[in-house]
Amino acid sequence: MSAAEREPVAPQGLDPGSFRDRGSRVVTGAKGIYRLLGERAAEEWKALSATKFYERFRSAEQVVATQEADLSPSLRSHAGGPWKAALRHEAVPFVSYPYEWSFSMLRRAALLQLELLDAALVEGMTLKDASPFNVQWIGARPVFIDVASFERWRPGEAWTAYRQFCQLYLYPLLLDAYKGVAFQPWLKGSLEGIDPADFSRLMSWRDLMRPGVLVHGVLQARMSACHAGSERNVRRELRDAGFGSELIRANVRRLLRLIQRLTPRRAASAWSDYTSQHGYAASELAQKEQFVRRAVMARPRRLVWDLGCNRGFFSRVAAEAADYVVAVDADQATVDLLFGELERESHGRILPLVGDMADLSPARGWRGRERKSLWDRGRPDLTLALALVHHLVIRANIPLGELVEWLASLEGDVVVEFVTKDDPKVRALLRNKDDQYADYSREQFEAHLARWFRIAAREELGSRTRILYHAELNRR
Amino acid sequence: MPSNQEVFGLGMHVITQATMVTSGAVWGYLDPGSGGILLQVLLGGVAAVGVLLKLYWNRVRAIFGGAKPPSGPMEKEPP
Repeated sequence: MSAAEREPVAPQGLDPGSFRDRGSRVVTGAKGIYRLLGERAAEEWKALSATKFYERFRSAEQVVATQEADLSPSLRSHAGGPWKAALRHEAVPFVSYPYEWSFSMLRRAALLQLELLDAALVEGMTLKDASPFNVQWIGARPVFIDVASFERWRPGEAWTAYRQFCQLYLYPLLLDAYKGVAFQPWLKGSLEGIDPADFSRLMSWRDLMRPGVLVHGVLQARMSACHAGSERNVRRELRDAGFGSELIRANVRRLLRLIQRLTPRRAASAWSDYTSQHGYAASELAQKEQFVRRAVMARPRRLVWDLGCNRGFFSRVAAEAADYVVAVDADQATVDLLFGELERESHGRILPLVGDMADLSPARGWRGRERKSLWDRGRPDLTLALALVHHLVIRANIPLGELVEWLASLEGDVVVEFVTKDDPKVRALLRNKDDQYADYSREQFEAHLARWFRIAAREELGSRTRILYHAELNRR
Repeated sequence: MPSNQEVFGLGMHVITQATMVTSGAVWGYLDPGSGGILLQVLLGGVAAVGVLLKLYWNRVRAIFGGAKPPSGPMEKEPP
């Protein structure tokens, strides 16, 4: 089944996160994602759809596939307002947010944003915002989803979204590239990104010499502070002074060159060198691979989550049969390596994301509905939790029973690995800790599983310290 | 080392500070920030030099009554 045919995974109705741009709203319908357009937005859409660059990016599938749709009464009923037109978008298989992306993913999305703006300006259009929430992924390919962001450029108009671009793309990337600080917690903490003043305070005198910091960061913060509260009509001033779109393009090209050169500064982590083979004999790995393959193929799988995916070995096994795999790992460097491999392969069915299983993305924003929690963006019908349980119980202190209950709450089947206390990996975790994990035993694990699942298959690996379970949810 | 553009940008910042140029236009659904708008003139490369000179020349003329003052109510958005 292609992505186009796949039914949207989000619940139907008004998208609560689409309120910011008053000119349009997004509605999830039975047959896809719809965008309602007001009068002006409808005119901008007409202008956009006549451009060559839109056709070029759409053909390359870098802008979401979009068709004009009937503005039916049922669509109108979801969102009040004087709507004039409706568009139907192809749904992406799984929605993700920039605080779940690795460095290279945010950089790739930033480049797409700038490439689109540059191409738009050549044909007399611009982008009124620069939010990474407008970029989604089909596997390792970024797709710009908000066609209502395009509007005709008006003489004298600066790049309205320049500051937003800095706050949500540039500063997070620079923070990682220059200071070795992961941006994901910052973006998870603030949907507006990093303020220019805060970014400036984080930079040392030495950092002022690094490309982009002085002008895009410090100078912007200083000028914003100096010019706050004035009532001048700068737009007319700029127009009278002959401000043209070529000035914006010069800035955009400068940013493109800057961002293309950025690399993550943080050294490879212990996990980024950890291959799936680590800790296994070759025969055990083959045994585990076959077990996972059989479980995935036991029934049609629309969406598989691979939690603690590492370099994605088992995500790839799952992707052989499943429609789509969301591969999550807490280690940013590892996810970045996986993304790089998938991007080189143009892989379209594995989405790599950064996420700590003990603290997955919560709901965020206005009324806690603007950005959904990870589990509200589409439940997996199969979850892989391989070499994960011992980390969550012994490292993160999550009670074993609660962990199994949480796996059951995902409403799908699981392939889960239990590693006993005799295993060297578990002994290493306990080396400097008091063993207060009396609940951590194979017997108790199986008892917890039996409460929610039916064990369809069970297999000990050769070492006998690792047991694999294919457990099917008891469906009431 | 900072690029020529960055040195140029810092120099222009000193100028804007010294002349107390202020601004505050807001349009669209995002507030681009007045400082951010003016900064974009400085980031416009070679083409920006003429625009920058004209921007300040218009302001000087406005002070001496030689041109319409640039401040005033926001224009109506085009339909």
